[in-house]
Amino acid sequence: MRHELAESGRARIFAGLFALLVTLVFGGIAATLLVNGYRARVEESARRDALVIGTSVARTLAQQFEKAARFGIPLKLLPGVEQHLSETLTRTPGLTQIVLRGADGREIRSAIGERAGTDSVNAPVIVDGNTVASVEVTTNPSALATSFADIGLKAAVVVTVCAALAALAAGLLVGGALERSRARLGDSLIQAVNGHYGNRDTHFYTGRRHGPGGAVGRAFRELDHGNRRVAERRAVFEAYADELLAVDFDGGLRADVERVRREVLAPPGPADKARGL
Amino acid sequence: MTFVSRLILVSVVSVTAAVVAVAIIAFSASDRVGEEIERARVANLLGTLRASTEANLSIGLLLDQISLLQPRIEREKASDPSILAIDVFNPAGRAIYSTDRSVIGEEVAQDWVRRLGAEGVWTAAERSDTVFGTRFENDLGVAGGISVTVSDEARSARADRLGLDLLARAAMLCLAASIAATLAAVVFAHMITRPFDRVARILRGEGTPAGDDGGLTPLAEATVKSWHNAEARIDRGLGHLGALDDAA
Repeated sequence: MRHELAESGRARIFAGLFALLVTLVFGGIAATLLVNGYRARVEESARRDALVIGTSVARTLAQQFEKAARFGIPLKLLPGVEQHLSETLTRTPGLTQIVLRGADGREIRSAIGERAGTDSVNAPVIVDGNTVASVEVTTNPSALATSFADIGLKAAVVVTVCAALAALAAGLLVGGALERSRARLGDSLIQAVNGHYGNRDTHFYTGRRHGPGGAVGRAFRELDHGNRRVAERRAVFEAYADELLAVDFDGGLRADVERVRREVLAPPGPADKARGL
Repeated sequence: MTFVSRLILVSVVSVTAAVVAVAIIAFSASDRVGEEIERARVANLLGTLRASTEANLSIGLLLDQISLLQPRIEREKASDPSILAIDVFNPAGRAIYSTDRSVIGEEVAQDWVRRLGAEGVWTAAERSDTVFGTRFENDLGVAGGISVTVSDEARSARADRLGLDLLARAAMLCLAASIAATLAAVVFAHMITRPFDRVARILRGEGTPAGDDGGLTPLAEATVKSWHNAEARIDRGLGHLGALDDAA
């Protein structure tokens, strides 16, 4: 019994730990795959949007440079271009570089952001049908997807909270149920060891409570089956004894029958228990 | 409910809850990305309009004298179907230029005027539209504001598209994680209920399996012996009764 008592609470702890680990491992893997896959999908979508924005900015700038070029002002000498490009870069999220290139492709003016670019678009600066320069805008969708920056941490917190709640629920609902079953089975076994097998009409165990396939249900069913077998044999013995007493008209057998009945139905003596335990 | 069923239920619910909660966080993040894209799209327009307005104010023109602004904002609206309206208003909140000419001279929303105190681009949600705005300045300080009202249709369509994608991913991952959790629960249940299995086998008379890891095993053995002793006593008793019967 001491061993049994020492195990009290172990099922709760194991069930709780199991639910914690299962949620952390499987929930964590699923959450990681979900976040990574979805972030890639969102960034792909944002990449197209960033390119659209970059194209719009490049066209606007190209139109502005066309006006200057029409007046015959060399783009190299145009004042305030760097500042204008820099302001445009700063106020438009998703852009990383704006470069004004000459007709030969050389860089004339530029504004460079901190991030590296992933895609670039060009808009030509056309004057009288001749391309005199081009505006190259480089984009990076991650600048638009900054809200995904700390999603890994948030997902980890959520999975951990779910795992902790699952551990609590498993400990109370699952581990607790198993320990109650264990205690009930222990009590029933002690009853059987002490010779209390019930009578044959009280064995109704069908296994529904513990499921026909579960080890817990099987243990209860086997105990019930054994108890019923002994109870049925006892009933047969009792019936035989009663039958003898019924035809014992002079009462000569009564004392012997009662003695035999006491011997058979007596609870196991210390010797039996010692043998049994 | 059986022990295994409970364990499976808790495991499946916990992994599903974790995946669903992460999916909600991811969707919320992608919604903010949509807002950021809209803001980036409009930011450049607001910036060029602001620069153009401030350049005109800096040469001494008054706001209502910058007549080029009206065709400019109409051109911008025409070039982008998602733009519903562009308004340029003075610090008192009166619209000076607007793509909807009927509102010129009318009061704009008080909320827009209040937001003139903040630097940078502001955002306000209005029914199914989003308003992006900024202020412009002259030498004396705030000289007015520009607002661009954008339809949320594109953003909603984007959110719907991404939401469906997320739903499909989350459903597949929930299913896979639930199956894995169920298998793990079955294996764990088999391990943790081994003492019950040993008891069942002992009571069935299949001998004493190795590995006594619980107090139930000796109790089960004692129970079997108790049954045997009881049956032996019954056999002896039946023999005695038979002898008495024969003697009578």
